[in-house]
Amino acid sequence: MITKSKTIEETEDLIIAKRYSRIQRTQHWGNVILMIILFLTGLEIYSGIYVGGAKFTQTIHIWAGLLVFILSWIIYTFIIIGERKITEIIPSPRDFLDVVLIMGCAFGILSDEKYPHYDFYDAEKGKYINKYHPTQKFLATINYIMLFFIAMSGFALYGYIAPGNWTFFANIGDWFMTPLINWGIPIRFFHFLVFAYFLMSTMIHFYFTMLPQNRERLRGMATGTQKIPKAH
Amino acid sequence: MLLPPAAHADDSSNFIASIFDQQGVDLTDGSISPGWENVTYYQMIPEFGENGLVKFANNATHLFSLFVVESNLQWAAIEFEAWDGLCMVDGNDGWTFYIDQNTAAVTVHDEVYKGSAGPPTHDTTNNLQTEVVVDDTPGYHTIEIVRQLDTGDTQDIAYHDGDLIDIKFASSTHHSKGGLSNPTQFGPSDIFFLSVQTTGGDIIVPDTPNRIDYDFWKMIALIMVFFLAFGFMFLHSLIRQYFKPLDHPNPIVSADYVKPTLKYRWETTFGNGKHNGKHNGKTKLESDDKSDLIKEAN
Repeated sequence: MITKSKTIEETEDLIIAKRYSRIQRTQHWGNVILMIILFLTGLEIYSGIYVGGAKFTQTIHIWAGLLVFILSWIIYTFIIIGERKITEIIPSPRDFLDVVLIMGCAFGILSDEKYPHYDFYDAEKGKYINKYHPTQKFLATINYIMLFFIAMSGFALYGYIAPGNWTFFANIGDWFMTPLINWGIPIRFFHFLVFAYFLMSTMIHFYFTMLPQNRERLRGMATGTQKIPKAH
Repeated sequence: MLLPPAAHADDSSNFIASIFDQQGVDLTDGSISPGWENVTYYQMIPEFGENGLVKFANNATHLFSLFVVESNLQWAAIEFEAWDGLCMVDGNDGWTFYIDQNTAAVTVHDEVYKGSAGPPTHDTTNNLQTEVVVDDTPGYHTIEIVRQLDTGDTQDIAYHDGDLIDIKFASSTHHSKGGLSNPTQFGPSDIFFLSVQTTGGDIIVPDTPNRIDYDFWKMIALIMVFFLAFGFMFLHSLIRQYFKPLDHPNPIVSADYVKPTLKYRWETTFGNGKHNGKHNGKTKLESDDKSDLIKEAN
């Protein structure tokens, strides 16, 4: 079923538009909390310095990993398919071109008049058009894929150090990681590299949320609504 | 220190000469076999104490090893087919030397690791022939072990000519807490290669491995992450916040606005600044500031 965004309030100067559904916000903030837990417990495992014991940390880490994997994959898939957001979230060939144009504008190769603007709002129909910056679409899609790899490598690692627990997930992880083992790449190293990707992309994502021009979008992720000025 | 000079008392005693005829290891003489003096390849293993060391040798049928471990350790261990960044991997073969601090007795066990699920279990069949020389060097015990290259035991790793086996050492003072992996300064050793070459009873070398240092590359990856992330943020804020901030158009569009296609974007960007303004039969008004192009085309 399509969840159609509707203008929920209108003042003389502002349109208050529904930007993010409750399920989108749940997925996003659930991810934030779980990622922080994963980062802290991962840091303990990486450093070998444990707060509350190795097994406690290990248990928290694996549970948070499973939850973030399920939360993201199930909800994200629902958003893409159930809410029919395929073209909104999955990058298209035009998004590739837009990224090139954005870079060209940033480095002065193209004038800013050629900048491919995004995030328009049709107040009549009450819906966004080109809602996301193209790099945001790439970020979401790559995150979706990377989450799979970090989860599988995590499950496989758990199987090696805690055999007999979570055998189902450990076996699936082991199966997906077998080519890696055959190539002689340590799974822990691979797990770390995917983490490094998340660390970098999250830092950049966080930077953009703090920019003044994105304040209303961030507000949308907190409350669900965004104030759009009628006149620019 | 390599090894204390071997004071071999009785050359006629039970050498395993038939399988190690050039050097020989006697497991019944109560001392370090003189054959080890000819094994010049060894590795200092700090996990076994400051002067802890390991030697390996083999011939076509047997693996010979000699461990010098600090006597005040509660245990010392070796893991075969060890994984980088992990230790005691489930199912891995290993040997553990338990040192009784009251009696100084050393017990050698052929074991299978169980990950962090529990301590290693003893093999059903012990395939190690051992001799322990207690305190031959003050503060250190020496352990000689002989094992068939292929014991036929499914719980044991089988060595073959040309094998390079990853091995790792740990002790009661150098191991990962709680059985979790990841070497720290107090963790187990880095991985070493055990090279098994059976031609002519050649030397086996637990050498400093010529392999990828993954800890180093992890550090490089982390540095790169911060460099790229902060570099990008700095560059972006410099360009888009200070020098040439973008003036975004009014986000409110009319109902006839149609999402631009790849072709439309290409033509309005590179197509001589003109476009027919039509897409799917509708006029495209991407934004107010671009409508001039469309008006011109119309």
